[in-house]
Amino acid sequence: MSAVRHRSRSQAARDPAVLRIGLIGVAVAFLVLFVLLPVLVVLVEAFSQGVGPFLAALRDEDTLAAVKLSLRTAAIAVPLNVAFGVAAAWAIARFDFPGRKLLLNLLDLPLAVSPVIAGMIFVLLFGRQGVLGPWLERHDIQIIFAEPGILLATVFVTFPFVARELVTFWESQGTEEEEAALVLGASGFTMFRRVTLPAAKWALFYGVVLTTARALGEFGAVSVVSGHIRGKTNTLPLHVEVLHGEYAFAEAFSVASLLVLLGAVTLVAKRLLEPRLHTPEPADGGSDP
Amino acid sequence: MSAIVVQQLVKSFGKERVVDDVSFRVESGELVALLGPSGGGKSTVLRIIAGLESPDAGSVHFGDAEVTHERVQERHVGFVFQHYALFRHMTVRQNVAFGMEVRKVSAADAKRRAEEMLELVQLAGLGDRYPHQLSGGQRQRVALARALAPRPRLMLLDEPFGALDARVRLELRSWLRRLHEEQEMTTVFVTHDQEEAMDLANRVAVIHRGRIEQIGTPAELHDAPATPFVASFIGSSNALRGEVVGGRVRVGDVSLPASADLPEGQAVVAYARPFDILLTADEARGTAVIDRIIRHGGKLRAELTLGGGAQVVCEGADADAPGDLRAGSRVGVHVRAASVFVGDERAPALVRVGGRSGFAPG
Repeated sequence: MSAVRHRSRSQAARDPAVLRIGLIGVAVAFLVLFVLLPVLVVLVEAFSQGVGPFLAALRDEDTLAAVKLSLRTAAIAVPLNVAFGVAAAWAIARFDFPGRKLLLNLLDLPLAVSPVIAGMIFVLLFGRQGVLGPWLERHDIQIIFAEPGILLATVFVTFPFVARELVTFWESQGTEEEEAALVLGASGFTMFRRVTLPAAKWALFYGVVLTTARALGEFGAVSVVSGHIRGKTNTLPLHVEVLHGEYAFAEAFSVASLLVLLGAVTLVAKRLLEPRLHTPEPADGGSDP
Repeated sequence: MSAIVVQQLVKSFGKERVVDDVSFRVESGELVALLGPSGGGKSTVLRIIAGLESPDAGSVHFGDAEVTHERVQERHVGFVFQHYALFRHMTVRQNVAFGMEVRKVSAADAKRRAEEMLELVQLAGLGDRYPHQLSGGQRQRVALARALAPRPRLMLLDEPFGALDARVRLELRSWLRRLHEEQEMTTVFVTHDQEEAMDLANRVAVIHRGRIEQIGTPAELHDAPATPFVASFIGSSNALRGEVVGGRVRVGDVSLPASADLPEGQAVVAYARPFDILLTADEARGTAVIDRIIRHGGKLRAELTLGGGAQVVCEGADADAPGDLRAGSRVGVHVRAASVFVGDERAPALVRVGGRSGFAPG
C-alpha cells in the first residue's frame, strides 16, 4: 500500500494567501491560548519554587495516599469495564434481541449526563438518606464517603469506552471471519477466543487506554461521593482541588503535573493506536504477481 | 445417491421472502452453479446448505442423512466467502491449519496437510505471510486451501471470484475447474456471472426472486428456456410481443410457429436469439427495415425494425444474407426458432407453451 496523501493543490485551486494565513493564525492562536498555555502554567507553577519543593509535594504522605487510591480504583474499575464492555459489545454487535437498542443508548448515558449527576445517583441510592441507606447502616456497610463509593462512581463514568470502541469495531468488521471459523468446526467459544477477540485487540486496547485515563482523571462524580477525607478518600484530582483550595499552589500544581503527564501518555497511546484501528487491511488486493 | 438434496426450502427475512419453495438435488461429484441476479436469494440457499442460516421450512439432506437441524460445525462442509474471510491476525499457514486444529487433528498432521494444501494452491513458501501481504487472488486461494484442508464432505463457494479483477478471475476459474476434475468433490457455487456459471458448472440452477426458474445443463438453459426470465437472462435474446392468429404467432407482419393448443387471439411473448433471426430475400414470413448493419470478418450484425415496429438485433454469417443490404433497406425476415410464452412479460406466472422449433427452409 502506498497511500500518500497529497496536501498540495494546484495553484488555481489554492485559497488566497490572506485567507490561509488568517485561518492558520486563528487556529494556532486558539491552541496556544487555550491548550498550550494552561499546560505550561501548570508546569511552571509546579517548579516555581524549584525542584526540591516539587519532589517534596509528590512525596507528601497525603499525595502518595491519593496516588495509591487512584491507582487502586483504576486497577479494579478498568478490568471490570473490560469484562462488561466485551460482553455488552459482543451482544450488541452480534445479536438481535429485544432491548438491544435500549442497551446501546444506555451505553452513552454516562457520557450524556453531568458527572455530578452520576455521583448524586449513588448518594441517593447508598447515602444515609438514600433508598438503601438505612439497610446499609444496619449492616454497618459504608459506601458513600468511602472507597466503594469512589469505585462505583468511577465504574459508572468509565463504562462506555471499551464497549463503544468494540461495538464500532465489530459492526464495521462484519461476521464473515467468524462464520468461516464456525464452518471450519470451531465451537462458539473457540471462535470467540481465537478469531473474534484477537481481531479486536487494538480496539480493545484503545478502549482500555481511554478507560484508564478517565478512571484516573475523573473529578465530578467522584467528588460527590468521596467526602474529601485527606489521605483516605481523596483521589489524585480531588487532592489537587483540596491543595488548591488551601492556597498551596505550588503543591497543587506539582500534583497536577502528574495528571498532565497522564494526559500526555494517553495522547501518545492514542496517536500510536489510531492508525491500527482505522486502516484495516485493504478489502481488495491487487492482481497476482 | 445424490450428495445434496434440498427440498422445499423457505426463508424470510422480516416480511421479505428471499427463498421461496426451492428444491433441487446435486449428484455426487457434480459441480452445480446457482446463477441469478443479485438479491435473488441464491446466497441464502447456499448458506442454508452450509448451516449458516436455518430455513423457515423445508429440509436439507447430505446423502441419506438429514442435516436440516445439524449445527454448522457438524456438517463438515468447506465454505469460501466472496471477501475471503481470512483470519487477519493469523499467518497463511495458521489459517489453513485452523480447521484441522479445531477438529483435533494432531499438530504434526495438521502442519503436513497445511503444507500440502499450500502446494496445491501454488502458495508454497508464503505460509508465513499475513493475509494483508497477499494479493486478492492469492487470498482467495488461501481461502480455498483453508476450506479444503479438513477434507470436507462438499464445497460451497459464495461468489468466490466476485471481488477479483477480470484476469485473476479467469485464472482462478480454470484452476478451480482442474481442481474439481482432480478431486471430484461435490461443489455448489453461487455467481451472478452467467459466463462463469456456463463455463464451470455441469448444471446450472437459475434463481430469481427466491425461486428456481430452471435447472439444467448450460445447453438446456440456452436452447430450451423454461421461463421468460431464463430466456431473457441467459444469453442475449429479442422479446417479441404478438398474438396467435391461425395457429401461428404473429408479431406485426412476422409469422412464427406456435403450439397447436393456443387459443386464437392469445397474447404471447416470443424470445428469439439473434442468430435465429435470418435475413432473406423472401418477404413471405415477414419484413424489416435495417437501421444499422455491420458486416465484418464474415459475420453480420444488424439492428432491425420489424414490420410491426419491434426492434430486434440479428447476427449471423455474412454469406447467408442477401448481398446488397445497407441501412434503410427493406429485407425479408425469417425467425427460425423462438421460445413462446403466454402472457405479458410482467405477468407473475408465465407458462411455457412453445419451444424452439425449426422452419422448413424457404
